[in-house]
Amino acid sequence: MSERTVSENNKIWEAAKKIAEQAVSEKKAESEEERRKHKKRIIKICLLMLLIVLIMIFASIAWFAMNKQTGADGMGVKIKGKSFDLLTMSSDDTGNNKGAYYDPYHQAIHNDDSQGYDVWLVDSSSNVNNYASSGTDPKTLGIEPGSHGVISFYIRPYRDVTVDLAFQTIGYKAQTSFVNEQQVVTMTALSSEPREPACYLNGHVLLFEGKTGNHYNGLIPTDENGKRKFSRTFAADGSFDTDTNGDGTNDAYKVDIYWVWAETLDTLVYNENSSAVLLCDKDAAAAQGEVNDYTKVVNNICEYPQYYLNGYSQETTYTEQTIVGRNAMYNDADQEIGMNVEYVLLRLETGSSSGE
Amino acid sequence: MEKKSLRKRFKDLTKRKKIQLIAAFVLTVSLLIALPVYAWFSISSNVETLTKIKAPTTLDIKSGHSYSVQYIDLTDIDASDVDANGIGHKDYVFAVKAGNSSAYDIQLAHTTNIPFTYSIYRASEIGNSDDDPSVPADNVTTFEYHDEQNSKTTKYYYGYADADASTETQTAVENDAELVLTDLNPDTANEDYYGRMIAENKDGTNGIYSGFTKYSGSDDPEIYAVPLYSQHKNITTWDNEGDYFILRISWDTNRDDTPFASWNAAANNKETDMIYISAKASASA
Repeated sequence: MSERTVSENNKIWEAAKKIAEQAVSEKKAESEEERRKHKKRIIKICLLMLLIVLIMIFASIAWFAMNKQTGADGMGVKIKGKSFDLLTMSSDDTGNNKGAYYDPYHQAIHNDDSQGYDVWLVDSSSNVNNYASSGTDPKTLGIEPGSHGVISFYIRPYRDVTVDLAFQTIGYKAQTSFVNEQQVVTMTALSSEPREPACYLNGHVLLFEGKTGNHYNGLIPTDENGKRKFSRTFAADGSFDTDTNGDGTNDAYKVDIYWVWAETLDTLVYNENSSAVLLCDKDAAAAQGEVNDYTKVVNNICEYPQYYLNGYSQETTYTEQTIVGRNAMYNDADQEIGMNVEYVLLRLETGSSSGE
Repeated sequence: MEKKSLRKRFKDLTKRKKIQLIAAFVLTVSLLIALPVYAWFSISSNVETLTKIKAPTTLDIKSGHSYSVQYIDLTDIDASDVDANGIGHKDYVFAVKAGNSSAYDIQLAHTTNIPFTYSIYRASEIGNSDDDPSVPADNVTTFEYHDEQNSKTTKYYYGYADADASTETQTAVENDAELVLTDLNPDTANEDYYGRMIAENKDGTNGIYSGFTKYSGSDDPEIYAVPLYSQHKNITTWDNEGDYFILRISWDTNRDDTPFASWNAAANNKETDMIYISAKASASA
């Protein structure tokens, strides 16, 4: 017989059992804990994978499908596509339609910035004296006082839309240098602050929506920010005049912009001592509640003399009577442009409320 | 482990962790929204075209040997310096620097107080006193340049050149060198009355005479004060740095064959006239 009694043995047995049970349960708890942790980890990873897959799906949809009408249910958001396309087209496929100064000057303008732009394609009937077919004498290209022409673009509307566009004329100077025996062209944008030579481009190169005979109409005037805003309504089911995608049906409207560099101030403001022909008809009838184009031009000169007259005074309030005959100021501004500005960039941008 | 509510769990996090969690949440949501929408707006909406601005024509009027215009000196006209027939003349040299124009027009305007006759001849420089100090032959016009700084006078010599030639061609024939000037506002109706041609001061019978406008509201100016304008157009540029011309001012001291004989005869009587010489690039150049 052992020294321990049966009850004592039982007690020890119970205790050992308890300890064993505890150990087992602890181990169980541990592995439960681990399993739980493990589960959590897996769930987290799965969620992350799901997120990545979702992002990839969205990214690829956006690239491959340009939706015009999309409804995303469950998001409570309806996303519309673009309301119109702005197109430029050229009738020939030569490289000439990018303009005679595209290589290297126009290209050089965007070397350092990432601003997206498309080249306004030109052809022999629609250009800013920068279209060169083979055999063109380069001396005839370029603009000067007295130059004029037409440049066109096309609007392809997807629904009835009011198109807001803005033109800008920016002056540039070119510098050529040699890097590793390669010719490198650098284009410097000239300041358009008042009294700077490039500022006069805003008033001397004028843009009009139309031309009847020798008279221009529909001035697109430059505002205080150097932008010329243009607004026109296009009907989605109206009478198109151009076929832009070659499917045999017309689907776009052609918009002609008439540009002119007025030769003297007498062509803008009527001077009874001059025989110059006015660009706008002085006596043209005006639309209801508006002034005629001649008056619009004169008003633009009076409001923004910094765009037209060299040596203007900020204190003076200019009126038609006080600007008439100030040809020397206009001619001096022309001279400033000619001596200091080498290239002019005509830019057309869609406004903020369009292409929504 | 106790099951804590999400809210309690969030509250239990440290401030740093809270900020991190919120930031991560916001970024994730914006990524989901931004990515699908970006592709619609990335289509370019700017078009541009570049063109060149032609350099302005740099037409200029110079004196002999392309010196500055200030050296044109119309002095020393002595009306009594005449030949046997009572006719005298004096020649002066000027130049037109055409710059990058291939052709230009010259306009001569002058008032008509003094009965001078003006003509222009095309010229070419044929020598100078530095190279050849000998006295030049007749029919050679001299331009004297006084170099103040070095106290030196150089004479440049000019002979006639063929006005119709496309490149510089010297000629001995005075008539070939003459640039025929077309009067723009002659008072032809009264030429016989006055005995010489002066300018028309009113609108012509057809209205405004070509290119000119009468200043409205102003008095009719003194008839002899209205300048007579004459032009010769489309003169071919021979040398972009300077084409030379000879301005000849002629006079006659005996005009008894005309009305107002004493007025039509040149004399040293301190009358004053003004001469304007202008050049402009031809419209087609």
